[in-house]
Amino acid sequence: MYDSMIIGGGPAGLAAAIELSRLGKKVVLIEREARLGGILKQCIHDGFGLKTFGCSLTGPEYAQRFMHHLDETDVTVYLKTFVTDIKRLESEFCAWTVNRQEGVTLIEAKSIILATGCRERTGKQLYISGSRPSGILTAGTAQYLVNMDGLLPCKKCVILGSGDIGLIMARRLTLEGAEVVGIYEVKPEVSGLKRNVYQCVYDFDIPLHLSKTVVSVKGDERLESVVVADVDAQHRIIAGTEEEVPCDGLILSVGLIPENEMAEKIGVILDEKSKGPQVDEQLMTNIPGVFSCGNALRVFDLVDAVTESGVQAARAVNLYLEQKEG
Amino acid sequence: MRTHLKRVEKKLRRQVDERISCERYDGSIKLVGTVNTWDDVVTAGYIAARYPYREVINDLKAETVQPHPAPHTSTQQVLPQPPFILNEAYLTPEYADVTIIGAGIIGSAIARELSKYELKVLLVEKEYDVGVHASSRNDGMIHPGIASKAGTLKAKMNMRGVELYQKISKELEVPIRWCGSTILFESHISRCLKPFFWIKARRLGMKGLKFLSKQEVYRLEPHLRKGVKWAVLCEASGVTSPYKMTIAYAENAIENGVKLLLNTEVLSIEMPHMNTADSPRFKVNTHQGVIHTRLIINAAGVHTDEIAQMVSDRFYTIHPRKGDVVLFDKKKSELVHGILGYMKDRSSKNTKGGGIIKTYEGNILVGPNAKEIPERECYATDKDSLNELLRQKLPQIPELHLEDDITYFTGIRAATYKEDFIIEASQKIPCFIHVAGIQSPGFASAPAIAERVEQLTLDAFETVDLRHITQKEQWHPKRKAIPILADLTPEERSKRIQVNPDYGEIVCRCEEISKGEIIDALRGPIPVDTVDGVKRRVRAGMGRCQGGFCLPLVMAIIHEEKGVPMTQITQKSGQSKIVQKETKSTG
Repeated sequence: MYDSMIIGGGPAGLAAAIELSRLGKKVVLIEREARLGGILKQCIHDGFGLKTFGCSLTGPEYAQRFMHHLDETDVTVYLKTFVTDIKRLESEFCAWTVNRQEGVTLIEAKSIILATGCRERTGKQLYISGSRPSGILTAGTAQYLVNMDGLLPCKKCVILGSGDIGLIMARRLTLEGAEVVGIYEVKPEVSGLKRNVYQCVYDFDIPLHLSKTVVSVKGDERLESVVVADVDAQHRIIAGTEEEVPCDGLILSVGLIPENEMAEKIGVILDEKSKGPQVDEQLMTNIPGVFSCGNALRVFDLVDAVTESGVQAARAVNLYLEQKEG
Repeated sequence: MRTHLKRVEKKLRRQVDERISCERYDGSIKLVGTVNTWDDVVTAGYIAARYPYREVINDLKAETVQPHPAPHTSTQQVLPQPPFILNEAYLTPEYADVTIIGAGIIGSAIARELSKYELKVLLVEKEYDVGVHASSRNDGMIHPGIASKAGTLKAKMNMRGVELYQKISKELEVPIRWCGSTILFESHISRCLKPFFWIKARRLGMKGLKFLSKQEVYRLEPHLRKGVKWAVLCEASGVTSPYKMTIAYAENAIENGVKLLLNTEVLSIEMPHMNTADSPRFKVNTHQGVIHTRLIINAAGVHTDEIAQMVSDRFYTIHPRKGDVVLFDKKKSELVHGILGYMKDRSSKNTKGGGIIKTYEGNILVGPNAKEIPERECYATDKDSLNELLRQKLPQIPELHLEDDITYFTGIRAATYKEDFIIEASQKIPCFIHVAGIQSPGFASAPAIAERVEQLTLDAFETVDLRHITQKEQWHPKRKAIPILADLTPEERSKRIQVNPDYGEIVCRCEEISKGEIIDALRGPIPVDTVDGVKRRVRAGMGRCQGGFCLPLVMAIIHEEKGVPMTQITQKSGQSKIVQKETKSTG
């Protein structure tokens, strides 16, 4: 029986695992992908760790520092292992996991830290009118294809939404030789960090259009063009401002949603607004012994804050276990 | 009849447009001329359909829309397109006893039933996969039949279809959830309709009709909005996966010797020459080559009238009717138990107003609505129309929120103006069978339609060729489905993973689909190398992230398994490539 089971091996889970192990607890870390680091693996740009390490690192470098620390601990790590279900027993929790080597196995622990990260809002949740061609991707998927697989998803693209991944992908795609026709943001201000606006957009002369959105897409097989238009303060399209922009790619950066499907399975109550679990000041959810941290709790702007919340959750779990046992 | 025709014409001119003329054609009424809008075209068609003609041929043109895509004619020359990478080239002429045009649920089901016999059967499909159009773009509902008019072919086929699905579902290993469907009423006065339902059910021969009290309704569907007074429950109704059913039918047909030709579009048909020594055959020209066939089954969905035109037996017109559907996250699955429809709006002449359904996989599905459109394959969605659909339906389940949506899509029903199925041997052309106007409840009727066409085919060989068709000694009605690992018990799942570790590697996190299942899909009897092809077989990418996480992984598996370069992998057909090139390459 482990003291704590951490689900998710991204920055939050890594930080929590290391901290909790240092506090003398027996920890198991479960990660579904082949390598630890979560989404940091595909974030090859720099700007990570200014607060934590006082220097600017790339995503993989940032993750690597934690993986070194993890190696020094006795945390049990399961890779390529998928949690299919978690259940609350009397005073502990058990998780059913699936992997290649052992098939279905049961892992038991006295507490759980949910560090499951977030997912991107998809184009389907925007109700853009038009056909269903290929070439429409979320910024994160485009980032994976470019940075992990070395594949260029488009030659000439429009970016909808000005979240950080969208801004970063505008620069990334430009550097890889694609033309970014413009970034369109429905709101009158940019969603992403100011530094990204300067470093990724202004420095590369990428046109940024505020209060403007994509109304519809065209193309039967591959995307051929999008129609953009101005919007008013209520985000309603202003008739007559429609304009067709030829492109073979539409990259969406329209928001992130904390992933809490596993949390919901054991009855964790989510916050209507943040979409993360409702937690107390100790990051404990309504279920005693279940904690939440990182982007699963709420979407953070900086990885340093994600790490911080992982550490905080670990300390809270330590306190919880000591109180329970003492 | 002649005066009749004049009367219809007069009526159409008065009610729709001055410029309409009517003609008689093979027992049908044919409308020609020009009107203002597409709505006028459809309205005129429906008015004409009220008169006792065989069917309506609606050749009206609308000024506001581009001309209706002209049916192919035998003289039309279409440049052959390059053969698609997936298939072997069939440029050598094919010889067949039976050629089925269209591999949707209907064509595939017919192919499977005909695979019992000592016949060479070709299943010809213009798309890159089976069931790409209406067969995968619907709600997967097996209708109870209560919506059909007693005595229609639709009603007959629907009833028989429901009966046959019990067996088919087991043989093809495509499970059906027989959850029943409910028609909800929000007024007390509507109770007087009860006898009407009894009589109708009796006339239809429909079993399992029940009336539910308010309490019973809310016990069954506790999350419904308040206000329901009573309901009609049709127990013999259920849901399944429409694309999985279509694929299963086609796979079983192939396993029993049917040859599937994908990416093969029929361009023209030449009539059999009676003077050949061998039995006369149609010459079917496709852009992949020529097929010589003794008998043709026209199951081309929205294109059936175009195919009928190729043999000069177009006595009906298909008018495409679009329906939008919105799907919600599985985690809201508990909010709906079965199939829900409200009884109101009797003004709608369309067969479906749409409802709320829990799909086989547990997503709540809202829709479909109905809209007449001139295009036969336009799957574009329209924000306003989706908003309208949601505005109507969402309040029925107060706990279902817009933000729980995961995707939406559009399908097109192949409706005729008489709104009934046409399943018959051509009256003009021997050995040509029409299977047209198959729309809702077409999916529910598919096994019955296949059974009927099987008989028509045997009859045609018997009467025209004086040839008795014998059954094969070896016919395998059973088809093995790809296992759904997530549905197995932990012990069974572990056992499977031990044998094949790929089953233990989860690729699609939302739907919990393993690498092993995806490989199974790629190794199935139908050649697949598209992302959507994988999706329709094992649902990878159908969850809440819509493939955001698994798309690159699925691509990598297709690449490993099929050897298709990553840069050539497509979403669906042709040019729908996912990526354009490698980042480090030039060009």
